[in-house]
Amino acid sequence: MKCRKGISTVVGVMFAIIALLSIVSYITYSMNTLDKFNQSILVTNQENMDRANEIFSVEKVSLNNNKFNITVQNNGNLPISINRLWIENITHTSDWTFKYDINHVVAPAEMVYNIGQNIPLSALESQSYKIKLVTERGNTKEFSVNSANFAPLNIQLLAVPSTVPSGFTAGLIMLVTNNGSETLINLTPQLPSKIDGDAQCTLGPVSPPSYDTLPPGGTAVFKWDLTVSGRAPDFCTYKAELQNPYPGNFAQAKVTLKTIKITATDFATHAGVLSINYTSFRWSQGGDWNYGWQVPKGADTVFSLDLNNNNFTGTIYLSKTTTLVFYPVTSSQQATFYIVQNVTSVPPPPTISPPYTCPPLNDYCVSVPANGTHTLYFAAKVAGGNAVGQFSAETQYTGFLIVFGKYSESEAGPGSQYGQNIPYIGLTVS
Amino acid sequence: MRIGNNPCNRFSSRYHRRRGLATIVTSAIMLSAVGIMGTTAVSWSNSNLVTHQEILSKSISDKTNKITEFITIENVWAGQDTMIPPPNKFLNVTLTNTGNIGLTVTEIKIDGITSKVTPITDGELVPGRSYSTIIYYEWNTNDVLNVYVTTQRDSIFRTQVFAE
Repeated sequence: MKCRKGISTVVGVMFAIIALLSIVSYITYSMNTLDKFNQSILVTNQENMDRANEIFSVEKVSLNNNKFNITVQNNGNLPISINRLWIENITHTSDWTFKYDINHVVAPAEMVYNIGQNIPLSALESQSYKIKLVTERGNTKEFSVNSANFAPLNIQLLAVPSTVPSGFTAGLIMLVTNNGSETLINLTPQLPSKIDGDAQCTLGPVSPPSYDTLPPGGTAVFKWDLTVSGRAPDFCTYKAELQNPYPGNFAQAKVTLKTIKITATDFATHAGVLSINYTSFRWSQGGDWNYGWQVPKGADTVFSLDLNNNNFTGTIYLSKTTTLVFYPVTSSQQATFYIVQNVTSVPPPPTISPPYTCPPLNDYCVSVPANGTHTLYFAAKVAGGNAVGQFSAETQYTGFLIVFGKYSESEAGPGSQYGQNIPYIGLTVS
Repeated sequence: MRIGNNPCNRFSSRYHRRRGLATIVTSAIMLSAVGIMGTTAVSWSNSNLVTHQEILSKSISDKTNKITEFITIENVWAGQDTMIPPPNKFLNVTLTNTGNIGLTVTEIKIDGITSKVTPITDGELVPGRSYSTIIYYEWNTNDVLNVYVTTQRDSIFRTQVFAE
């Protein structure tokens, strides 16, 4: 029986081997096929990842010789190939769209320039375009370049400072904010026009002259120096707009002249604790008070001026030795006029009433309150006297006020003595 | 050791003579039957395996091709043909095959206020090639339009555009 079973075994083994080989080959084939599929999935995934990792941005758009000049930055880590440029004119009534095949390869972190310089399209600054760049992997970057007349912009015109002393320079600043969603190109301001005001205003050159592009949300700043002169409160009102503007899209600013004012504290620091209002200086030889600088000689003369106490905390009581002194420029005959409480100028000649006498000290009769002003009169030939002084020499006089006093709570009370010379008074006696 | 008593001794002439023919016939029949059955089984199983291989191959190939094909809807711009009376508004759709294999665009569907399906008969695209077509569609300014592109492999690519 063993000899019969040998053939069956051989035959069975052969069939088993055939079946096994078939199965193995099927499994091998299946595995290979699945491996290929797996590879294709990996390749597709890699391509999708590459496509997603392709990052680029439009850095600059300008028009050079009526040709677009687009600069693109590759912000990703893969080289990109920009191979299509679409340009749509959105200003033109027929709304044309052109497609151009281009070939610009940009390495990672590099920039490519002059895209659009070689296409047969002549673009106009006065029109708006929608541009789309397409990469070889199918990514697109769409943006618009508009002229300023495409839509109203947020324009502000600021005068900094808005009030200036005559002869000083203010800054006229024009802020243009792109409040749209598309890039603006070639923003150039017009020279601001003066539309109102009597002040003499002179504009300097603008800086910078223009902006090539202004991305959405960006702000362009243009500045002019504006020199203003005249009398306060004259002013200049300027109107600024862009070249080729959207109708009615402008801004205004006003620069007003002002008189220089120094606070009392600053004045006390820079000009003294006491100061006089030079415009209040006046004299009389009876009758009207005169503000001029020509005084006749040989007549009783009284003076008046306002004295400011720039001390914020203390009242100053003036001594009877407070004097208005005039020195002649060509002789030695000085003229001295001591302080009096008041004068009477009508009828002429002027008289002292009362003199600088007051109980209990017969001194410190007049006070100037803290941070206040008081009108003083000068007339007496001697301190506390009744006789009115006069000029005897015909010449020019330089005058100054010598103030003696004390900061005190009262006329008779103790206090801190204070003396000051206040110059810059001039007269001509003829 | 007696050689003549061994029933398997091929040199035993008596045993050989008695059972030789039947054994041969029976063995032949059995062998044939086993052979036929084995061959049939192996053939059947091989056929099955080949069929499965083909199915698997086609399925894998279809799926590979489907996942490999990729279309970029490169640009869609809205226009109006003033040379003809209304309705004369249209969309110019440009597609680019940015995948690695050829594909065939079979239809483009515009879905906005109204929906319009346009069959494409000349949409064979080799890799890297573009295809543009004009689809007449009455758009309104600032309409949001969905554009669907269907390929022969039933892949659908979609984008959204503003009509302006």
